[in-house]
Amino acid sequence: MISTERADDYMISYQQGDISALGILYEHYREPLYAFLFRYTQDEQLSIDLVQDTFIKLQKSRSFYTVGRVQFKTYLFQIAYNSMLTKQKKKQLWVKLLPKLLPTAPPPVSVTDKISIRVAISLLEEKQRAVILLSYYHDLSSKEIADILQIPVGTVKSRLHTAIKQLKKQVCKEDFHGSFNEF
Amino acid sequence: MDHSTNSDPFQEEKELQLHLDSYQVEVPDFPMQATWSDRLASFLFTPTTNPFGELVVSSQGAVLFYIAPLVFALAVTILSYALLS
Repeated sequence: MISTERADDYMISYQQGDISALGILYEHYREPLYAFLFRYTQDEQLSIDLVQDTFIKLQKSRSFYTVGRVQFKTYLFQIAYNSMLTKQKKKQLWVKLLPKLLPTAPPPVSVTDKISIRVAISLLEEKQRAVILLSYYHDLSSKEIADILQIPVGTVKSRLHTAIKQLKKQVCKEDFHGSFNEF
Repeated sequence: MDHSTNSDPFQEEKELQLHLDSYQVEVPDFPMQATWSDRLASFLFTPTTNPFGELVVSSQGAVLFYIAPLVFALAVTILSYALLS
């Protein structure tokens, strides 16, 4: 991962017309962005589309980025998160209009099933899921997460606390069933 | 990832950290911009549920599913003859 200052330098170069700087930023940030979106949506194609949409929006709004206001990584994740929310709203509309013609959803998890961390994360409420993913896998501070999700820092902390509690409950359940199945 | 600072909410959650660390994501190779044909292909080839699935499962539904087009075609034929004559 490139440092904040280097990312800002590349973004300034891109704002001044250096197209190769955008390519460098893409190569550095496509993986963390995809990982965040995939862990959130569990949908490979949707995550790819969202990463591509994020960079299209970055190109369109390049003049709006101001160095020092927010970190580049925060700015990029904010675009990706907002794009994801927009896509999900559209998807919910399609669910109402044409429930039969939507992509097949994974089968619901039974209470007695073993729950992996992947499933446990997907079972979290959306607002808690985003907080735990950004905090744990992307090392973002509460302030940075608050900037991305556009919520107060206190809300980030309380959501993180709740998410950790929920995940622990799910993981303990898995261990219980895991040890139970051994007998 | 280092989660050993005092303000880190995961610091005390060693077991949870092990589980979270086990969730690794394999990132596929994809370009910065998708072509129009890529987007169309992903839209067309996304698996969906069969809208007639539930209809064909029941015997009455299956009969209706297979007979309805024949009845419709017959009705259209009779109507067209009636209109022409």
